[in-house]
Amino acid sequence: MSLKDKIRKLTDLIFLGLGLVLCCFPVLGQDDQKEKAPEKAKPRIGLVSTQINGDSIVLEASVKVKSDGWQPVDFVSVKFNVSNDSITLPLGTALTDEKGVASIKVGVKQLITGEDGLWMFGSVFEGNETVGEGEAELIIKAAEMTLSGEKQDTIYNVTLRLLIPGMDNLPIKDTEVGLYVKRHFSNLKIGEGTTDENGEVTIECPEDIPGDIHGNIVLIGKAEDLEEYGSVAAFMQKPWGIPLPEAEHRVTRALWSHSPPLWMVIVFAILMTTVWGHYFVIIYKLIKLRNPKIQNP
Amino acid sequence: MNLNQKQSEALKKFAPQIESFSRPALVWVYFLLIPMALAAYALYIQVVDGHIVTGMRDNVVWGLYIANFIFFIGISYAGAVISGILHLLNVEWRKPIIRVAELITVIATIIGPIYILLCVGRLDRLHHLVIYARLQSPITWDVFAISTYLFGGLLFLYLASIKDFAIYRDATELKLQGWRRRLYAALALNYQDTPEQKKSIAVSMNLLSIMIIPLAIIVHSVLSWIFGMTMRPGWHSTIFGPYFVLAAIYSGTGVLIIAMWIFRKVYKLTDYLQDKHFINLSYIMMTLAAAYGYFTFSEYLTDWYSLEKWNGEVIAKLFDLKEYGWWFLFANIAGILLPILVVAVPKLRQPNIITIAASLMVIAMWVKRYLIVVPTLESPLFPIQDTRTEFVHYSPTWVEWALTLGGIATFLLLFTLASKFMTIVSVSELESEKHA
Repeated sequence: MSLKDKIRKLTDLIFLGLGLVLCCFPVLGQDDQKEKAPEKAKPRIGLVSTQINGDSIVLEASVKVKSDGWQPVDFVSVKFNVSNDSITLPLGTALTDEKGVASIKVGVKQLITGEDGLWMFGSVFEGNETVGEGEAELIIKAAEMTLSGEKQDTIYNVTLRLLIPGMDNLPIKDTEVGLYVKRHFSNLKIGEGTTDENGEVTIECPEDIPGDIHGNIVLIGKAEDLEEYGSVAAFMQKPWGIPLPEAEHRVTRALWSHSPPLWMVIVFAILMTTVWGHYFVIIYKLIKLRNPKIQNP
Repeated sequence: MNLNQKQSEALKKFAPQIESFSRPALVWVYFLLIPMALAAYALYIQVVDGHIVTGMRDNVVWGLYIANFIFFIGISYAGAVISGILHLLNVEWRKPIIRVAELITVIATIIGPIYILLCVGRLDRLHHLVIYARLQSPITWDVFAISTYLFGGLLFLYLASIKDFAIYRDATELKLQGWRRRLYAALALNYQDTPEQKKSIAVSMNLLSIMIIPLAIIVHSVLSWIFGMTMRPGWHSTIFGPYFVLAAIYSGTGVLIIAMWIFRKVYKLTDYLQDKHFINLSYIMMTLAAAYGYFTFSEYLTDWYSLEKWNGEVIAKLFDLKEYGWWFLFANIAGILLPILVVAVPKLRQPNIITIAASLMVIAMWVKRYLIVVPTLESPLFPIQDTRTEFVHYSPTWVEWALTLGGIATFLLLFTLASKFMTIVSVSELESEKHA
């Protein structure tokens, strides 16, 4: 066998090897080592509620594990339920966010109460590969906040009333409440007070708050973390803000408008016409080609 | 058409290739159908279950599919630019390789955009690309550019094949079925090799050669601008247009060398696809490797030197061996240094070694496309909030790999079928060779 043949044979073998390597081309970005499963951490589950406008409740469950302080467990599933002595009614499931908080909103009408009229909520985290299971319970009474607003002379007043819904609508006295206005990122606190013997407090609303184009603002009354009722809140929209001028929508030729800049249209038209024009000329010549006697243009 | 001795010899040589499927060819086709069937199943899963079966999520919205798209459009340059330039310069040695190059162009341009369709979540809204097209959007430019390019590629291949179709039509020694002969007759457009017809085709070929080169440059520039026009780190670069164009011609040259090597081996075409063709193409490959290396160095040096926070983050990922470091090294060693080294050393300038270097280079160029797409999307300009870890880090799933393999298998199958439909070396070009 000559040297040339040997080289040729060797390179053929290399090609065979290359083919095998190609077939077994490893998967990009995938871990090829199985990590040893760590011991599961014990979670701390918290459960709080906010009763809104007397018709719905927002339940928020937090999932945390101890690791250099309490760290949130994000994007895990938490199940919510409400129960009494005889049955447990599932309310839904939600994923925790990056702060480890999962929340759902439920209507009051779909809830069941115990014999004492209390709501007994539960949140259950069933655990995952790294975090063990855990659950929390919350027992609260129904409460309702109402908001009403009126203009007295030149002053806007908001009256917050906190009560226990039912036949008697019993007031909830001596409770600290706050008045907020909804803003883009969070709520802006504009006043606070304590409910009187009627469960009421009146708070003045500033008149220089920017609203939407119609001057509407959303007012929020809130009593937070009450021992028996959890948080209680109410929303109300009023046209008490300063109307914002509507943004001008001038339609101009621009990169961001509906119409492209003129130069772009011209360049595009020239390019497409030139190329497709040539294509059509060639196609025309091909059609003429069928007659071998005719000289093409 | 009357055949001269050279054409008759060539036709006799290629007759078994186009007359029927041999047993090995059938086995090869069935073998290719396996990954294609797997890809069809993967596509079914993706359509039924949605894109959740892929590794793409809210943050890393592009992955393997887009890397494949750029890769296939890139290798389509083999025919468009290489054969276009060689035709215009009337380079004599181009003639046996030009058919392979043109087939690569057309087949790759057909397969590449399919990956866009696989990547788009709502295919039922595909027509919105046209009816709601915004001329300001690079996506719109791409839709028009690629469809125009595909049409041009098809026209180029067809023009270059008319004479051959006429030869197949008239060659009584070819044992062809009746329908095939009728098809060749229709495709030959009554070509009788008259001076007028010769001139007409020559003029059209010249026109299209002039047209296809800037068109191909525009297509790949537009493709790069989909990345370059965004403010994302690693993408927002003024040299992305020429960088993409160069990389495309480079990878196209590599695929052309590989295809030539395969056809030379399978159909025993040593007389036609000679060593000189490999060596000449390797010179082109080496020149492009050097230019591509220069662009790569310039691109990363500029990003690294400015050390803008987000650019620095992407570069750190590319240089970190625990992240993309090994892939980055492979992309640059196999993609730049190896082809230069192989061609620079005279003893290594052999078809087999050149083809090994080209094969590794083509893989490296695919890896490079992956490295352009994924690490940047994993390092967005704005900090990622409210998201899961698996949304930030991309890992292709089996569905994406299956569809990738399916695309490669389809490319090879179409190539195989094309080589059964027309001779892989243009017989009519051999005729003109004696006049040259």
